[in-house]
Amino acid sequence: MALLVGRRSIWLKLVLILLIAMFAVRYDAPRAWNRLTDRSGLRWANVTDRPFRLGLDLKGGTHLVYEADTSKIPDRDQRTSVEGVRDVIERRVNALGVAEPVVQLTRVEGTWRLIVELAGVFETQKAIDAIGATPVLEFKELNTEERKLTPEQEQELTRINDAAKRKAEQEILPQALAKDGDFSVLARVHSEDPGSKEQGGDLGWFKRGVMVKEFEAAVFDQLKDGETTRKLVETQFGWHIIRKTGEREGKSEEGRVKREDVGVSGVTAVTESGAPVSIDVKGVEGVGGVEEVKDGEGVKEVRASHILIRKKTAVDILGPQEPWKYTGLSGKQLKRAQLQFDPTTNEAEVGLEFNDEGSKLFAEITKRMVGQPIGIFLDGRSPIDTDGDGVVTERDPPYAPVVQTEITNGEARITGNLTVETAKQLARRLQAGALPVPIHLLAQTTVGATLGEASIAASLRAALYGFLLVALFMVLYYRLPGLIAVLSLGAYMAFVLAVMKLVSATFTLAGIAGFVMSVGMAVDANVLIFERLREELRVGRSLLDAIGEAFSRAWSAIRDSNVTTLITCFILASFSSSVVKGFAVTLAIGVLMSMFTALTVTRVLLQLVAGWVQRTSWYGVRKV
Amino acid sequence: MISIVPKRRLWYLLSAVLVGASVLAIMVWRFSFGIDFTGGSLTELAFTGQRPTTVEIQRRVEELGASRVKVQTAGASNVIIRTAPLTQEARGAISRAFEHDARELRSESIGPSIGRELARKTATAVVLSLVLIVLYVAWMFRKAGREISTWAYGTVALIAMAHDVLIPMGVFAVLGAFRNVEVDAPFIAAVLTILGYSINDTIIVLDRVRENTHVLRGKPFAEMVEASIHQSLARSVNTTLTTILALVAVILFGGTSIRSFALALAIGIGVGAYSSIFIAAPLLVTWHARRARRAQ
Repeated sequence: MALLVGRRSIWLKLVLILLIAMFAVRYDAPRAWNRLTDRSGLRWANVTDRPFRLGLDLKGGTHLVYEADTSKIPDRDQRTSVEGVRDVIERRVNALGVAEPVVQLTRVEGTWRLIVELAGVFETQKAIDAIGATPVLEFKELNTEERKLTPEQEQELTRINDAAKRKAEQEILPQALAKDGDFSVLARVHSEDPGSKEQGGDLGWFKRGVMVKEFEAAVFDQLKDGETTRKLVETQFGWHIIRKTGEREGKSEEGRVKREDVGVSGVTAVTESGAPVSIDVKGVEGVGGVEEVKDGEGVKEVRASHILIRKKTAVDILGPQEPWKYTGLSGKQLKRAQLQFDPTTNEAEVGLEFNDEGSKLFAEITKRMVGQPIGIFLDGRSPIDTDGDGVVTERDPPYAPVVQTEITNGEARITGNLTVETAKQLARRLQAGALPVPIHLLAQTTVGATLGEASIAASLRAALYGFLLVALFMVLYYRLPGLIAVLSLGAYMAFVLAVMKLVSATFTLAGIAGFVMSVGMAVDANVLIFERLREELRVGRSLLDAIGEAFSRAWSAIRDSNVTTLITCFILASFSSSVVKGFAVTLAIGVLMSMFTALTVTRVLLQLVAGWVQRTSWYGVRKV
Repeated sequence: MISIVPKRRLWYLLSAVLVGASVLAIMVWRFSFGIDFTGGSLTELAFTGQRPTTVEIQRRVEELGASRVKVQTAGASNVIIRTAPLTQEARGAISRAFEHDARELRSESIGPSIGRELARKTATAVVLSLVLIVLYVAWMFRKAGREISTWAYGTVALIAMAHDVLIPMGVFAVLGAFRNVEVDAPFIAAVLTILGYSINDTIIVLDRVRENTHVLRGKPFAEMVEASIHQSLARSVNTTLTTILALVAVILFGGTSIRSFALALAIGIGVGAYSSIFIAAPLLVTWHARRARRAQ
């Protein structure tokens, strides 16, 4: 009876182990699992694919180690400063477009190190250049400067425009007026209005008030349907050759032309140059001269095509106007930036403290600029995400708090609508610019993609053959228990891989070597148990008794002998070399899991088999 | 059946020769330290066509301003170029110099401060491992019994560990001198792992001795130790053998970059099994005999 109950509990344990093993396998190889479930119609059992984390030596990529020189930074600011540097580097790395960049801060023997891992980046120099050196923090004001052309430039401009006009008048206009001339082809070839050029110059239907004055005078008052202007029409954009292609009484919204489609041609040239949309750039205002146009019956609409020969302006000569102008105030004059809370409202804000020089400059700037924004630029960009997409890119509008009042004591606060998280981030990044921490490249490793792939293939081969060799030995030497050890070893491998995934440990080349080695070590526990079992059987115990005795006696030896390996693994894990660390972590996981598997899987299998096979010769004992 | 304790002088001699040769090799050839320790740059190239001679490559790299240039072939078409630390410009120049004939498989550049850190870390790690393991062994054998003291077990374990580590180090000094095998960070990991793992066997054997001091009371000490060794011989050999089999797979199939690491581990673990059976346990007998003589 007692035996019966024992058997049932063994079966129960076996089922439990099989379930755990199945979960491990399912987790290890989700793709193979999903193929299986798809084929057998058990779609609900699908798992999400979570890949193993591979080190750069297997994946290929660039690994950079920087040292942050904090010697000039007071102790209490060191942590925020280096964290700021990490943020800055993270931003720069993100701009590279790497899939999963890692930027890690570690402290090694009193110095701060930054570890940057860029998977799939093989051009080391490009990565190093992108990461660059010290962050630059600048305070800027809106650029309202009037720019004047030099007399030479004026002459140059006139010359260019005269030539353009001559070309339009003498070459294009005659062709446009020729009887067999195709206006749309001419527009495609010559027009400099990007908005209509590709449509053969067609601007669509529009009402009065949409176009600039001179243009409207031509199409509404002078031209008849189908006519082309005999002379160039000059507007602020340049010289137009206009053909009227239709006229009707407007009725509805359709056919209405948005302002951008036409008059804006000249403007887009300005905005495309990089001026942020939120800033009114000089020259944009008043372009279209938009008037309210009433929709409905009785409003005349025309349709026209045009060929535009652009008139060059000062912007074309001088280049686009920088929207922001450097105030002379930079991170160098900023002493500290920190997260603080408004004493009355308790809202998060960022406190800035300038040094003497900075205080003076800041006083002067704020006096001049009350009510106006001051743009804060870190590496030429907004310090925080301002367009809400979670990352800072060139597209983020500038971060520009508005000056409330003149500040003379050099202590400013950035307030308003800051979450604690944002304020903290802002403070940290400003701090990075305030106390620039120079970084030096200490080490660099780049592993090419082909080498990584070859290493993965070789490692997998080594793991397979390692398993086969060990399995072969165990079966040949220990026979039936050996077979059990091999089954147990299979479960062991599934468990270790699952744990590696679960704790997001990284597989490196040395780590896989550690894993293969641990396969050889994992059977050690089995060896200890089986040897004990032989001894106990030789003494003349019954099989079940001997099994129980073997496990309880061998356990202390298994535990004690693994402790030393774990000790060295923990010491090795403190090395900063990722090779050493990867090996140590994998080996430690292997050792822990091997004890677990020996005590559960091997034990249950052995007890189960003992119910079927009682002859001790199967367990390696020659005579009883 | 092999007799171990009675012939212990022979085993001591064998080990003394091996350890002596290793120490000598280390003194004569030193280690050829990798750039992990010395700082420097390494570039591995795979030539697509005809591989130039190492002399030719060395000349071209030196012309680009690199010093301490060492060129070594690897496999059929690869070349590993080692130099003193390079500036990024010089590194770029070397990559460009071979970009038409070869593919760059990997490159590595390590500053001297990282090397110094590794050396310091290694020293502390080795000392810490030794101290912790000896303390652990002493704690484990704290109730050693009257026949032999706790510290005897600790000392024997320490001697076995020194033995297990010195021999692979000697082998690597030789390999460094003749086969360009370097001592690098993974080698340190191997040495520490040997420390932790090969003491396992020693613990198993010593544990059996301790157990038998109670079980086989009345037998002469030497006979009791001999019996203990034979009782645990199969498991010592087999646990080692399985681990070495797994490592052999890594040496044969795991690729060149991991080969010397696995080799160091395999040598250390093999020597470790030898030392637990033929050195550690017999040393207990020697210790016991000496104490007995002094007592007379």
